[in-house]
Amino acid sequence: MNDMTPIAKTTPKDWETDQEVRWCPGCGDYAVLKAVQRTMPELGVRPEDTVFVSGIGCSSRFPYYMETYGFHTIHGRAPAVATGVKLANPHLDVWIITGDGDALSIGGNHTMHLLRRNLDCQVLLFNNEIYGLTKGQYSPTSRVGTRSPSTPFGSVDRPASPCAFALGSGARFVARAIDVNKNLPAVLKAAHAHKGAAFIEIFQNCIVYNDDVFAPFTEKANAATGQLWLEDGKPMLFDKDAKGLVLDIETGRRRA
Amino acid sequence: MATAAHEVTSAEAAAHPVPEAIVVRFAGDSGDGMQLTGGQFTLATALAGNDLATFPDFPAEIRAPQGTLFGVSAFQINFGSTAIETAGDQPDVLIAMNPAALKTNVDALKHGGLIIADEGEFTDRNLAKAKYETSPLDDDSLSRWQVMKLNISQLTLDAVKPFGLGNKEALRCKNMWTLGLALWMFDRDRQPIIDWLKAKFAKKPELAEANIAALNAGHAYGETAEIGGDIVQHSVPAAPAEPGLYRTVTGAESISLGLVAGTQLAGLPMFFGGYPITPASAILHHLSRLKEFGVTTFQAEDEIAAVASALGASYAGSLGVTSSSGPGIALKTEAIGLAIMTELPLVIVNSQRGGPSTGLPTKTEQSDLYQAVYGRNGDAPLPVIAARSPADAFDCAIEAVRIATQYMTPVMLLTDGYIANAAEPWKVPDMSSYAPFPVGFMTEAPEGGFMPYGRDEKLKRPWVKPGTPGLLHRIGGIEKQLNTGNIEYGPANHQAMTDIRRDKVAGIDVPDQVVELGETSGKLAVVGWGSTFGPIHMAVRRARKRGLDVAHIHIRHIWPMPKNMGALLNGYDRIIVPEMNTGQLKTVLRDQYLVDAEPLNKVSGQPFRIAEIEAAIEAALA
Repeated sequence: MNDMTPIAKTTPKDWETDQEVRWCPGCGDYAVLKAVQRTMPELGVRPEDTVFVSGIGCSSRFPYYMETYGFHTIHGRAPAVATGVKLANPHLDVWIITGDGDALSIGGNHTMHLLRRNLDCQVLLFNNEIYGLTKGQYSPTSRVGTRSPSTPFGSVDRPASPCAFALGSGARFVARAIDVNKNLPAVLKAAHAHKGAAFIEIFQNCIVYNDDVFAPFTEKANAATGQLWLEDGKPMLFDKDAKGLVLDIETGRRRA
Repeated sequence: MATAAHEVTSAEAAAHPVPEAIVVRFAGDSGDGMQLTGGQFTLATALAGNDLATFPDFPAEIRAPQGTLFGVSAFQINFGSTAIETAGDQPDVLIAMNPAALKTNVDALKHGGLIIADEGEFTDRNLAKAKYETSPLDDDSLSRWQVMKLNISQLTLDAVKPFGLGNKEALRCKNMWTLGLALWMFDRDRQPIIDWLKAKFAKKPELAEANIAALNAGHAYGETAEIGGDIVQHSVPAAPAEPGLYRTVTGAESISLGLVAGTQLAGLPMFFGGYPITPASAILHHLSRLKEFGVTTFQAEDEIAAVASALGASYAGSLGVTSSSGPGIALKTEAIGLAIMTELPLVIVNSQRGGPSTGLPTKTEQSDLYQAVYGRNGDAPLPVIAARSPADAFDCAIEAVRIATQYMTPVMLLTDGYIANAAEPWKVPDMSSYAPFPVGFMTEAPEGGFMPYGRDEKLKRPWVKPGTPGLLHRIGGIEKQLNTGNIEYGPANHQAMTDIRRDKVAGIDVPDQVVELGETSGKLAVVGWGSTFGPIHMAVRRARKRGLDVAHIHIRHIWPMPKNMGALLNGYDRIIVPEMNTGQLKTVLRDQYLVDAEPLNKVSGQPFRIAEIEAAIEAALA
């Protein structure tokens, strides 16, 4: 490819495929798909240089709906396949689409190594705190006590935290967003701009198996008190700037 | 259709008959107890039931000055399973306890033989006494042989530390440490030596215990460091060799070189995803030094990442290669299935070892044939090739790359621990005699539009590199629609796609099966694959010399098999299939050709002895 030729302008529609989208009506994945398709024209990238690599899960159907190159691989292994793609052709822009089960259950090992190795790519982890595709079993991010087909009396294990896991793996870019929130495109852009592995945990609502599990902070009424959006250089304030995060330097604990 | 395969001719094959014996020479200072060491090894070997001959070789001086060339004492033992005829064989293994011992004995060692050197004794002083200017362990002077450097002195001191011996006394236990290692490598029992030590040192039990500790430590070292006993088991040809450039090569090296040669013939960069595992790690090591040939090597976090990254690289337009042994191949199964479904080129090398599960990492076996041919979920056909020797592995690797890229399919290349580690002289081929098989990436949509799963006359789909404008598409493991490659669950489509996947692999052009020795029909055919080539070949040759009507057929293409295989096999009254497994090729032959292939199985971690196959031939023709 001649990198000097100007990149043709695209619209969000140029990034849509002709495939019928098969997620459940009301699934948070639609919002993420739209946000990504809306963001791609602003990134100055060519569709033919873009590759979406996914594992297995509802989230992982994503590549079929993006008019780019795409590889729907096997459960938990997208980071490993993506590593091979990027090493074979570093000019490709590689996005990894995964979920809480795909990335932190079966794929925990590969996710850790991808972040540790700092492969230049973007990792979008759709966290719905459940296994949607296989009909609602609990996942490594489900809260204790989650009732599900495999845990009818409530789940027992403590959940993993995707962001803490990413930081522990040595990730240099760790972000969070919410599927329907207007800030998602900005987070995607920042991730793309970062050279190295950019990790985003996206809280995604599974309308069928775990509806409104994030409502305590995503619902409109709770948004102000439940969400703190970080902006570089600005104080960490929320609740209409009435509250902030304070660190007690003696105990090392946070006090709101 | 022309292929890149370079036939190993009967003449070349005959030049490397596999003898039955292993010859080990212990060499050190006359004061080192070499005779003692060799004698004890003899004892253990005799008790193991081997026929043997020993050749002690010691100086006249009772205790010549330490480290000098004339002070070297050596003890050679030739042990094997058939009548040992001569006393004059060259050693296969030289255990050199100091530089002088190495200097005086190394030229007798067979090309490709193994040197075990006590690097603790390769001090400047000792090197000078042996008239070495630089240490041979550190320069190229020993490149004709394989060298294992161990600080036997230090390892011995560590082993006997608890017994509080003085330095000199402690070091005298070195020969027992070395003996322990040799016992591990050649599967000999320690108990007779332990009993002997207790008796010898009855009046000084602490010396007995120290020596026993050293013996056990050497043995444990062999086991923990997974040091195998697979060493050169061939003889230098009696007839003059073909003129040409020769070098010593192990199976691991020749596979690595063959993979590079194959990717060059295909015009591709190579991506190798690997993970350490005995006995396959050497392939990762060799390839990691070949970057200037367009090779990228990646030590992945596990076996699955190794194959998955290789598949990702193939997706991006390189040739993905991965390698492992049985347990690692098992882990790769799902990803191989994905390669089959996405119809991407991929080469998987299995250096087989004793199984099942962790099995016997340093013992040779060929029990992964079922896994290669059948071992995936679904109807997932996989081409399978098997190498017969280190030299043959070079051509098999090229063939694997050819099939993978010409048919857009993963390919399994089977070899084994014995081939991987054994070294033999190899005539470096003239690469201009190999026909290239360049890959044609699709770069623009054909007339009628771009079909990601459209088929050519070989039933292969197009290979499109991401980065190519106008041909954007998505692939994955879910069943896909004919031609378009979109997700498709419909019944007729699944049947049709299953049939195409089967037909594509079944239609791969492989050369016709030839007969290695004998006629294309007759009373008996001995049919083998992999490293049983040597013993089968010798057995059939000896039988034919005695006038028996027997042929040797050795299969390289296990799946698909050559088109003439059925007709060929039907030409014999009886078929015997010697295998180091419980009868896996036999099953495939019976299933595919409805012939009464009879198994001759051996699963002991050791190669067949010629006599075992000879006996089966005699019985079959009785």
